[in-house]
Amino acid sequence: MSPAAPIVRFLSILALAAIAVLPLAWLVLGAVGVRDGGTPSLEPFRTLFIAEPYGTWLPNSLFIASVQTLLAVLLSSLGGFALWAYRFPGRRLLIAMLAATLIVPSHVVLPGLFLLVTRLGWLDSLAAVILPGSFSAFGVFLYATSYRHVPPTLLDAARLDGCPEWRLWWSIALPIVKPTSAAFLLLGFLAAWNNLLWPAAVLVSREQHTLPIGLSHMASQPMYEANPAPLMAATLLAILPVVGLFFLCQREFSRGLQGSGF
Amino acid sequence: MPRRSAWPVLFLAPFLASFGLFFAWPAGRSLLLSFERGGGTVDAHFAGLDNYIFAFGDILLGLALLNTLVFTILFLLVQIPASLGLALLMNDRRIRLLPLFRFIFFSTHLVGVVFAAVLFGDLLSGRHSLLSRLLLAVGLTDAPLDLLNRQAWVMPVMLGCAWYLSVGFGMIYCLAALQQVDRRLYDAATMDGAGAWGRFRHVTLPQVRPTLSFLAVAGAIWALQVFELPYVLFDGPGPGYCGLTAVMYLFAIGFERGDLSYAAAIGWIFTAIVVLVTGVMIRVLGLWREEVHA
Repeated sequence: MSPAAPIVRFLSILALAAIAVLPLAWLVLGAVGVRDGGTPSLEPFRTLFIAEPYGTWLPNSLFIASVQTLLAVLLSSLGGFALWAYRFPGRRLLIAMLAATLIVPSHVVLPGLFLLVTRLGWLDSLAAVILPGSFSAFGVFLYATSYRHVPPTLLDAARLDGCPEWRLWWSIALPIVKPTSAAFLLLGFLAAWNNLLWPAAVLVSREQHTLPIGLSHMASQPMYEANPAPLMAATLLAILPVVGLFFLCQREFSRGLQGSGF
Repeated sequence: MPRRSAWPVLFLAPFLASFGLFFAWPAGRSLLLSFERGGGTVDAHFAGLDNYIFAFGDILLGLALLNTLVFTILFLLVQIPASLGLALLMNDRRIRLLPLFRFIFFSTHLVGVVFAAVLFGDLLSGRHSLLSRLLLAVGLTDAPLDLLNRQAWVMPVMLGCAWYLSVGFGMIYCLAALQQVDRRLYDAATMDGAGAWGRFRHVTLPQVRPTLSFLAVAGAIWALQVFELPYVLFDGPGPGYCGLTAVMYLFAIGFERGDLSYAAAIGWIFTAIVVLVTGVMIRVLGLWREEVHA
């Protein structure tokens, strides 16, 4: 390798990083209203909360994405544990069935799901979004494979000590696959946070709208093309919770991403 | 205390209940709907294959499927090599500020598809967009550009936004795979007289192949279901329906027009295509062999 190679490599990385940062920098400049010069201010945020029901979208989105993701983690880690730790009749059939659904696009169920949700009287309620998002066949697989890091002898020893079965899952297996949980939690939250189609189909009234619904409406209004500052403020605020969650579980997350089949 | 054999049932029950109620049952209901006219309304009646026959002559559906396939192929053709290329560039622990760069490249993924679309709309479209300003500043154009209103630019804009969201994410996987390659393989290849290209071709590539295959299948599943990107960028199918995708068409028919029967038929046709494409990819690439069974 020539002596110039490390410098060329570093400069290439720097240039590519600049491309990655540029849109976000432009976003921040827009959100504090300094694209055309002037001093930074939080005025666009004030305008945003006055002109749009952002104070409704944000808590709706936070509630939906958090509850939905936690439920998915819970149901998947439990189901995956059953598939990994026990041999029971129908196990292989169940695995085959779940594997098949992995490549079935979830959108195919939506017309039927809409009828179900209507009949249950959940139309226009947050439950119509949260509960159908509470299961993940992929999550069950992910956990079933991740539990392989748990030494089976550990479970046998705990059983001999009289440990109840549910604690084998909660106190022994789950802590060991924490990186998987972190990765599943973050990517699940990101997906729920950006979910637009189904919420737009079932959440009718303005009080029930989420950030993706609200922002897609805002983005189509000509007034925000002329003055994008409030729209940029809205976008910046919408990205921050995910970034915050990433920093909360950063260490576990990168291990989980690399160790499993994500 | 329940007997030991009852535990797996208990552990699986919440998942299976949710899966059955919100996936299996609605999937079956969608299948029934697709054989009806006016499904879900008081006028619902059996219509046989009418919806599927109609779908065959539906030009918009054909266009939506074509756009979706073109988007998926072009997306993967750049996403996979770019992720690997970026990872090769980053695969040197001596690089200064390496963790910072890793975060910067990954951070684009955290923006999320809806908010990235809002952001790209602002970057690329209108009088005050960054693109217009840059091009005006260097004199490449004398009027503000409005890319989002030009048919020829619909696909490139969607692709650009999709790559922005995913190349850094793919890089993380590739980097992890590269770091697990046994150094001695490179030494052995060098002793055998392999140059930089030979080492890449005969050591690196075979070693990271499973990771690339996984990224390709996962990327295909994601790209085939693209909806939010064009929907938010163009506030609909875009100029000349160039941004109309399969899922967007399903959404428009089912939930904007309210024809759940035809939407269900579209959903099943789309599912057949997705299963075929990803099934062939999994087969050809040799992915997911008996992982859980072992």
